[in-house]
Amino acid sequence: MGMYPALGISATGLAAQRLRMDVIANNLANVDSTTGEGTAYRRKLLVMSEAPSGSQFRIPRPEGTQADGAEADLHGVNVQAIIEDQSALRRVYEPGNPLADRFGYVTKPNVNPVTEMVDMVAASRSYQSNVTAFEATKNMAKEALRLLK
Amino acid sequence: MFNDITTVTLTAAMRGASMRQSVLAQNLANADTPGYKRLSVSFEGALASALEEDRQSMAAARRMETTAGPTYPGRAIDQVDPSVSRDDTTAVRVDGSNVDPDNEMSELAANQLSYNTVTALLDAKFSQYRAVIAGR
Repeated sequence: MGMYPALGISATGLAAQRLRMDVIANNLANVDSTTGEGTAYRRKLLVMSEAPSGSQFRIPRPEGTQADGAEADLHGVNVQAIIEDQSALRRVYEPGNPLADRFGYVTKPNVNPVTEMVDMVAASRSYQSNVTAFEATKNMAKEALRLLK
Repeated sequence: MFNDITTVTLTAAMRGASMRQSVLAQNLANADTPGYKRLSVSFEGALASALEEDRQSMAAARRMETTAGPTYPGRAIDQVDPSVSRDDTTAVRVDGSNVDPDNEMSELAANQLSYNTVTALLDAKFSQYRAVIAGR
């Protein structure tokens, strides 16, 4: 088994964390998106699982790393789905809003900017840890290539 | 020619470290996967016992040599393979995952160092070969 599967595995982590970042950015951008009377944007969440399993997203995957012996089949991480947060939507009293119901309440998204910010920091840290792993593997490969000199 | 004990041992160690690197990358990639249980690689123990086994069988073969000529016993070191296991007995997070990024990071650093050490040693061994081949 070569050094390159590890690079591919780290790449799946990078892609998954970047997608998570996209979802968080989408949530933050839609913090006030009301889609009609009584409905609003629902916060999106990423479901991650250990690869391989069904994925509807194009996350780069390394070739199978199974070799002779009892080695594990490593494929990194997969994004299974993007789901919607089913918790209650916010209701804000805005009688002047054309989307207000007959009591004067407008339904707003269940996005909490603070939660999104914390998730964003977590995603960025996870991304960095995958970058570190990638760097480490790259240095090892470089070191091994020195043998040819 | 290149299947001497040093080269074979170092190659086995490199294979093990390389496998461990993949496994650590896998653990880090799945750091946010709920319920994921971390994988680990072990090969040092198997390598050490294979070396010891070979040392003993070589010593036995040398004792035999005096009467029955040279013998070459099969080596255990050629059969050493890294083994991967999943630690599903612990959980450090509420979601059941037992990946601790700090732990993975320190193992990653240690693994990189040991891989580079093994590579440097192999490089030194090959320089010896080069010197012999060139006759200088």
